[in-house]
Amino acid sequence: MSVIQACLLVFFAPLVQGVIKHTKAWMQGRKGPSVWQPYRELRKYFRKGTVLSDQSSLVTTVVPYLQLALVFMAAMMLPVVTAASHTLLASSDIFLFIYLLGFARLLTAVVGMDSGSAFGGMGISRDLFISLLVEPTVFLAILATGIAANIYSFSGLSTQLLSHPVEEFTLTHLLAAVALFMIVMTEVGRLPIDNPDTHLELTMIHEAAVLDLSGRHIALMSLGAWMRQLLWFTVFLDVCVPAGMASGLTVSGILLGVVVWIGKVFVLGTMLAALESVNAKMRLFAVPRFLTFALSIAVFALLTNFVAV
Amino acid sequence: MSRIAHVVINLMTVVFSSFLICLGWIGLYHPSLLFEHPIFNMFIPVPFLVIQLTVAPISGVFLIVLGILGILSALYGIGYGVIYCSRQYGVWLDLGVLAFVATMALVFLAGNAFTFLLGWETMSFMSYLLVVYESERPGVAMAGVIYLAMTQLGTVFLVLAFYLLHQYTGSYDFAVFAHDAAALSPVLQTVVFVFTLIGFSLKAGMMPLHIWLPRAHPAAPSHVSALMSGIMLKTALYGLLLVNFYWLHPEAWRGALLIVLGASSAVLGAFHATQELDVKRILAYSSIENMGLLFMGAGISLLALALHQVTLAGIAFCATLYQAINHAAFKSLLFHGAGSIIHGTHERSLNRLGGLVRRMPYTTFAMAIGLLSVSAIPPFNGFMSEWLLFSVTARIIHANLHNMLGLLPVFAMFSLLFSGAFVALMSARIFGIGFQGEGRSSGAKQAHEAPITMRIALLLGALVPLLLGLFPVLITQALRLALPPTESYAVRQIWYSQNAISMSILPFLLLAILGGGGFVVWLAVRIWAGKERRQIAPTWTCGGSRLANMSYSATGFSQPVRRTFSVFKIPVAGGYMYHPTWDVVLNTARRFRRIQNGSVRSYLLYLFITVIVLLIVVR
Repeated sequence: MSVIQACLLVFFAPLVQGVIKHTKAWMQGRKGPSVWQPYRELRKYFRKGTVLSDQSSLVTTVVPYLQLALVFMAAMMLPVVTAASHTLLASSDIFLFIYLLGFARLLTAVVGMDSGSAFGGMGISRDLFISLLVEPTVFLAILATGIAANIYSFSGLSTQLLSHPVEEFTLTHLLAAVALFMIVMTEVGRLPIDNPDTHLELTMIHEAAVLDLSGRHIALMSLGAWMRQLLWFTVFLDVCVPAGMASGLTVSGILLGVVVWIGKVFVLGTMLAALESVNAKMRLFAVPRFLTFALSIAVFALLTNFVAV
Repeated sequence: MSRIAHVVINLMTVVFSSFLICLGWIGLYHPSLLFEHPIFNMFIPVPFLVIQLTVAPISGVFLIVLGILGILSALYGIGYGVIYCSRQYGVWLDLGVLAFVATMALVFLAGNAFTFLLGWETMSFMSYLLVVYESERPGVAMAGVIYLAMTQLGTVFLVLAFYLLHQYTGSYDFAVFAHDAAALSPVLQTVVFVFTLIGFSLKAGMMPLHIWLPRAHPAAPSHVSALMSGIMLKTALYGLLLVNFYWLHPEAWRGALLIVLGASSAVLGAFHATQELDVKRILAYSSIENMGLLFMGAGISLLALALHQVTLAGIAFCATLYQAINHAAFKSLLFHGAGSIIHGTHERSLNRLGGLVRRMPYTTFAMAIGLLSVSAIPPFNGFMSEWLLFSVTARIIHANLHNMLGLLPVFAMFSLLFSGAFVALMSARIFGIGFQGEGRSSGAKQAHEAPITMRIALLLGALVPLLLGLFPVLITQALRLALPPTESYAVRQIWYSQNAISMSILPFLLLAILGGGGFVVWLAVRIWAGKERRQIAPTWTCGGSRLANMSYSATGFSQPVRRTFSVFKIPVAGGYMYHPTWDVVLNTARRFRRIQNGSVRSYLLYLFITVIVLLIVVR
């Protein structure tokens, strides 16, 4: 079940990217590329030969495959259409999941620095710098929603909200949702943190990291990045709005879950595209302020647990 | 001749370390055997000079770690020490390592205060001698002096604490302490706690008292640094656990103090680890961070114990021990790796390294494993213990939601996460700048791989973190034996979300999905898109000709961090604490110089006064 779900994410992730790009173009009054464009790009990259730097090592040729496997593994852990925990890897433990994504980030880092290019180093340096504030925020926000009920897995959090959608949605959830949304914006590399469309070194973060890759390596890394984007959407949905997700393994429930999940992801993607269209990019050193704000909200979310009992 | 002596002495260290592993094993699994028949009990007619060697389960754990590290470092030393053989007294280094291992074993084996202090002092002194071994290098002699001064200061507090315990229990025996110390008056217990805390914090390098550590570790030869960081710092943890969990009555505020001390030390240490340039200095700061986490874990356990949450306390204790073992495993590996880098390139600064991944494949592999473990990447060992610490901290928060003390685990968790993110950056920085790209100096460009025994030690050392990560259930089961009698848990309770069986296969599952999945992806791409057409080209440098220094430097890499988190660069060490103290000491000495006036009459007067005072006091 978890393997099927992860495969679903693999094939669906480029579409989400396409939809976001299309919406953004539409909001800016352009026609924009087709929503299927990311699939075409992937096909093109896979078919192309690769150009390797003379400074690169085994890391460039091996790590892209490992990175995709890693993101696949993370996708096996997250409840997407059903909150039944026994179908998921390691019962969808929060800590394991976040650290797997941290591993993916570290792998991206070593790939980015492998060619010895200044762009790679710059992108990785910025990416890891931002992650300093992202990781505590994510943990504390997610933890805040589960700590009162002693729940430390995504499926548990979803089940809790599914069974009591009104009573359980407290101030804690609201604050955590705000913090998580800010983190999702940061993690998927969108404006105002990072500009995914640019190739200008002043503004690049994620794009700079994969600048020296080509051919199937960049295809794998991009697919991994898109999957991570989808995973972050799903994290947000699991923790804050799991409504519509199946709680068991009935066929009708799962089908409904798939439909509702796709709908929610599209809504979230459109929201992000809209936010991107009305925001300018922040300076790199203004990002910590934004993230510290998210962090303080997450801390407050955790503290509400001490008040609420 | 000296080559043969060098190899023989190192092999003796290996044999001795293996013996320590056996001893530790017996101590852990058959403690009663050693309790009833102490290994060594030498009574000298003077009442307190009794050397008593026993093994309790907790010291057994540390002895096993010491033995494993001793074996690895001695093997490594065979190759690494060759460059020192030509020096005068080249063999003394190997003898020093053997003696260092032996004195550390004495600390763990000590059954009474005298033996403990004897081991503690000789250990500190041996390590001082090893630190100043290369005293011709600039800065090494000074590092040695600071180390010696700080460690002696710590010993003073330990002696005072043991003396107080002796005064009120009437014995120097650890067994008597364990039996009677909990019943002492609270004030006395507080004094003992504070003294031992200062003493052990000095040894562990807790943040305001850490100044010796980042100086001494880079100064020592690398396999000595590995031993110092891997296990000598753990003697402080051992002492702390002994005092707080086996002797004194647990108090919540002590746990709180340990949490605050450890957590702030962890974050500050991790921050500094991202800023330094010398590889061994980075690792030294990372040791401060890890010791902070260990003190924090001990504090969490103590807090839970004081709040009568026995199971949670036991799990936190187990997580702390697990983390201590893991830190020993990966930090010794990292120091060995750093030693090979220095051996192969004669460079220490990250800004002058680069491109080692192609020139030193074994070292790169070992360092990669070590860096993955230190950044708590699943399924390596660092992750398993941090996972345990994380889940138990979360559960303690849950259990204390009605209690203001519940905010302390929140603080602990915050610092756990924050330091974890810093360490990830540190690892990427070491690997990306030091190993990838192009060599930035002639040393790095002409780097050569380490000799065979060093490679063996590196590969064996790389195996240890992997094994420790792959068998978490077995290890927690073994550590359960080392728990204090007041704490307990079932292994099943540790991994709450899973049962123990699925937990024991989970690391293998993760590894299989990672490796196998990577292969499947490769296969799928190969079948779908055909064979890869490869073309080698120089790295794009915007049209200019390429220079090695065009890559991002280590300084630039961590510049955003330095700029944003500049508050963490508190000048405590220099400006607010040590300089004023030093001034006070100097001024006092200057004032006392006045009594040395050279006149025989005043000296006679001093003698007379001293005798009178002694007569009154001693009677």
